[in-house]
Amino acid sequence: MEVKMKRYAVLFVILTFAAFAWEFGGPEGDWLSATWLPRGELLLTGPNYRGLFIYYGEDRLDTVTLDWKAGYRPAIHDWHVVLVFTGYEDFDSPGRVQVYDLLYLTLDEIYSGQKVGPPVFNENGHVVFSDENYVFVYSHRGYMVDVFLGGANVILPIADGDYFFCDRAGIAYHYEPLTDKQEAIALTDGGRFTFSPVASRDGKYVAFEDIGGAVFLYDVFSRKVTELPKGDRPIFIDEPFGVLQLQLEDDGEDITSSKIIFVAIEDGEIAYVKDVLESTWKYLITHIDFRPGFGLLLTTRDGRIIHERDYEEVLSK
Amino acid sequence: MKSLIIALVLTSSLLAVNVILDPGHGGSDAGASGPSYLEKNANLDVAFQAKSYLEAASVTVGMTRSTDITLSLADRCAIANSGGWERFMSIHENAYNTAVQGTETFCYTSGSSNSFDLRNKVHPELIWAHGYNDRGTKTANYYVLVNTTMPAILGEGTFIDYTAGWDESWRYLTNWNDHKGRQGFAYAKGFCVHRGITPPTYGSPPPTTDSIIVDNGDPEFTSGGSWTAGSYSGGWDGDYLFCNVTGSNWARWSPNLPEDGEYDVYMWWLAGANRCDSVFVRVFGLANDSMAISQKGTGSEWHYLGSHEFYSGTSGYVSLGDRTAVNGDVVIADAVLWIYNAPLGAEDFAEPAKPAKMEISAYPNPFNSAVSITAPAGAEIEIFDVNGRRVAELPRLASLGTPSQAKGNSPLFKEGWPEAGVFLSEGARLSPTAHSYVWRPEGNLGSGIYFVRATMGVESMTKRIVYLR
Repeated sequence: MEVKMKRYAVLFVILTFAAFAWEFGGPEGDWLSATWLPRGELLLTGPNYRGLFIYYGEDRLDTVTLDWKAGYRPAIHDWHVVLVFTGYEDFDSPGRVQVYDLLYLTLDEIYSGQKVGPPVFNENGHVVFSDENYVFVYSHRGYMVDVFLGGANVILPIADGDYFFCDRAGIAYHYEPLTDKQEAIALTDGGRFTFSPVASRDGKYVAFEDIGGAVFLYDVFSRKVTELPKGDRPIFIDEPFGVLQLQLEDDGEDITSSKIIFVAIEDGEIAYVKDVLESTWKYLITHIDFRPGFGLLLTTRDGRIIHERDYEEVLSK
Repeated sequence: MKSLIIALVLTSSLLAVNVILDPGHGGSDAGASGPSYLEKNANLDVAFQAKSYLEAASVTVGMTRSTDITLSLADRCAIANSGGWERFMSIHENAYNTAVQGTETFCYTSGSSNSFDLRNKVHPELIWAHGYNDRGTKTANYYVLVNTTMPAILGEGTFIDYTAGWDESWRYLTNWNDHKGRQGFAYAKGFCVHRGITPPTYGSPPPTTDSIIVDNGDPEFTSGGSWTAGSYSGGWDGDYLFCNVTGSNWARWSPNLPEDGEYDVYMWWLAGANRCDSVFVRVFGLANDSMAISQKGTGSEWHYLGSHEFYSGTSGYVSLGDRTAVNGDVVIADAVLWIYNAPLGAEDFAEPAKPAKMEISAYPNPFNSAVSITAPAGAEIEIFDVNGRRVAELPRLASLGTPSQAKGNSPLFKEGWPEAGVFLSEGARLSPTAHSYVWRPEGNLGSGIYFVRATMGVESMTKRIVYLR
């Protein structure tokens, strides 16, 4: 996908509806998802999670990279004001872990190797990623901090310096580096298959998906698992604390409807569930993001980005 | 962490080349359907075949689903993405208006060059697998093609709803001519060519000590009719038999199996353009499975006839007959291979009991004008010819009430034997558990073997009947 095309895409629109603060989009499938950056810019990725682009508003759209997979789980650090991602120039070439400075607009490669998964920041602000054999810990400036055996494609640092991951067999694990203990996380049904974990900002909770549509919440301290309502692509909200998740329906070939629900969490238990937004005939929502003060950021099936500012009060009781 | 380390190092060493297969639909989403089989089941069967062939080529294979479960598109993508798989192949069958047949393979319109290459390598293999119309390589923005991080394709092997020339879904149900195995092999070979690795060999399991081969010269082989010894190369162990004058030629391979169990059964023949494409084959084990195979296309290799259960000894056999061949079509009788696969389940050793739920009777059989068929009440009755083409059907009639009520309510209830079709039998008793029907074949139907199939829920049973005009 050409950068030029992206620029036209941004220039293409701005439609305002009563329900939506603003939206923009372009040709079908133009944007796959949008994520808030610390100062309110939008981080965009294209189909197949290819490339990363930053939309500053008006007609300014910067291309960070056109690497494949770069848009799959990029990590953003508010204090460092950087974003980090793993991209592949070609699918079978080495993966490159790169840090993009959002203030100085510089791009630095901190690691290159085969089969590198997406990076994430740990509670110390270090970049963590895995190549399936090793887990690497780097500073965002590119200095190696630690490396140890283990890992999976997606690995999450959680509270107390521990790690969480789901392997390809669909088993979720909690690993404690200090004691070198690894524990499989038992679900209600031994036959479950888990994937796509996300950690809360403080690392105390992990939400992950399960085959069949269920979403589970893992309490890192109590090691307790709570089954949440069915959903897709859970993301954590800090205040009120809970999980925002999509409920996608499909006909086996394409998405037919979508709904956003919010599951409030208190002491590891579901406090309440609230319907936030339902798709209309015109908008099939396939990705979501939320930031306090900025509001909901929705990406539709046909590649449009919609911003809704007023959902913070909907999320609270 | 040590077990994790070992597991991951081992896993990593195996991950030089990997792919995740995505059998489309599943669970409450049946996908497309034909009269005999559902797309979700065909997709899963093909995926397992592809997995076997890929693993034979040392490829690490994952599956988004390996059972009949409902799985959303979002979950399919998430499983593939979070597992870090390198390629994604979604396996589907097509459907339109029951009259269209062909094969097409998709990748995303703005996908990577690897996606296009994978699509272009798999597609000709799918064309080879079925020999149907080449509907071409195409692009589309299917959800799984757009939302996966790796090169991805989606194959539409055949139109499973096709009934204009034959019942395509019946070919999946019976694995006609290794229908599912060939499609699975196509995905495997296309993938291997795309990745530059040695592809697996189609349908040629190496004989092992656990395998038993009965060749046409062996004492366990018997035949009747008029067979001639062939002289071309390519027969198993050098020789084979053929016949080309249709009559009552038959051949039977009766192995002395060493133990009870489930066996993979293969047949070897020398293929050719003048061969019969609907040779009637029966595998007689614990069940009596019938199928039609084509001896055109690829030959001189082992063709998979499915996995079948047998008791030890000589009670089981595979037979072949030419009654379905057009006069002049050549039928080959060469060799059959049994490979022990698994022990019989405990249920197979239970006291033989008369089936309580599904039973079909037909009288007279053979018949020359009409046949009376008794089948479970509420079952859907269909009649197929040996090519899998549905020639008659009676929709499910779950609550007919008394014969007179049924007569009054149903246009399917006919007096006597007035015309062609399948009708509720006037004189037969409509019991709560079984109904009787009469089938009088259409005038354009020829003599031969037909199959009556009764389907009720997930259960079905087939009865062979012979029509002599």
